[in-house]
Amino acid sequence: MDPEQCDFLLGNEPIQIKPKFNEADPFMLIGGEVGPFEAGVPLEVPVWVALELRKRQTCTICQPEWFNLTELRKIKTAEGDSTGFTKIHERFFEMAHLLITQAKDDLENLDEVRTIVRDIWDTRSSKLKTSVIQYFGSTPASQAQMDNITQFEVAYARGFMTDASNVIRKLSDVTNSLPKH
Amino acid sequence: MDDFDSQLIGADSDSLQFRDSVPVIATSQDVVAADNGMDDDEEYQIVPPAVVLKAMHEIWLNESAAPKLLTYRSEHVNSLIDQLENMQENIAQRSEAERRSMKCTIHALEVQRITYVINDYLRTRMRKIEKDPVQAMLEDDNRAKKDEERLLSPAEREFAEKYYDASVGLLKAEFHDPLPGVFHKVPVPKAEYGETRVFFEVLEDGVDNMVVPHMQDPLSEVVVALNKGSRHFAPFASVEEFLERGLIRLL
Repeated sequence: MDPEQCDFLLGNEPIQIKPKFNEADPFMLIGGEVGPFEAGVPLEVPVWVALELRKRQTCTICQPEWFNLTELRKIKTAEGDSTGFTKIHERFFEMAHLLITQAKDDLENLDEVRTIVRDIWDTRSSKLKTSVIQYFGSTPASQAQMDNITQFEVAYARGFMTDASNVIRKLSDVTNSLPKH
Repeated sequence: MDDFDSQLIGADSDSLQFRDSVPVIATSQDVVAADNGMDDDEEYQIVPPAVVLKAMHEIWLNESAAPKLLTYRSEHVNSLIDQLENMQENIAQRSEAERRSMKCTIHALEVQRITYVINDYLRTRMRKIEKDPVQAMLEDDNRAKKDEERLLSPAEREFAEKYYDASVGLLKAEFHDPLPGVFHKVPVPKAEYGETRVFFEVLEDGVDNMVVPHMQDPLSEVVVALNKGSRHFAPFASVEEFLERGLIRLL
């Protein structure tokens, strides 16, 4: 799982848009029905459809309800208060990155939002770092439970965590097979 | 333009349905039933393509994250390829101007996305076969003997055999001939995938407890309860069975 795969999967998530055109018949895509489109009436489409329409300037993207200043501030406070990870949208970081880079004009309070998302990322990644250090510390643990970690963070952590676990496991195999004095 | 959608995949008014001649099996248990009763229409279930597509994404993710080859899911891949070919035919039949319209572009984009998923799935599997063709073929043979679902597709099997023959041929030509007979052995990597750790999420309630070998004490084990929705980082061997049964998914 790479960040690229995460981005690809983001494409399948539903998002609200406001089309600027009319199309009475829905598109019968393999992945499901999309439409019908009525100018100014918001409807839900997959993100990849929304991006294509926006590229052709035939729609505006509406902000998801969990992506406004108040909600983000709540997430940031909750994240700061708890020791574990709080529950955030599965594609939180991918969606945030997409909206900030591709849908700048459809967002309000862009700079503040960007800062808050960055803060949330910093808090979560520092929690990840401390728990990794603990996990691999002087007595490496056998397994870890990390609820509410998102796919993107897994992709971020996977490389070093799997490699480090393999090395530690090999070392412990060697030390365990040595005769005890 | 109005005929566009009705020509697609024998679409009915409500949900998209497969053409009746291309049945899709909903669960892996049904695969055996389908293989035995090819002429019997009642054994098939008609599944909307959207469900198959979603399942294909999960299969793709699991295969990407797993350290070893998982069972080949032929029914999903084949039915999606069928859908894609159908859609591509439809698009090709449109006039040049119609093809540039938004509707056609969106359909074409979707075809590209699904093609990418299938290609990446096959690519990942081929990479794993290349890493260890002997293990792949051995396990495939074991499953064939036990009459279980095969690990490799026929094309993959052929690829594994050809790749192995080519590698051994190269080894013999370049290294074995100049060296004395005692060196004429083909090295095979040790199949040690159980210990690699993976991230996973528990999908169902009431899953059995997971047993993990203790890091400090090789003779004892750690037992962990698996609740729905929790996410863990644990050795692959402990959860392989759950993965095959669809109770967890790899992240």
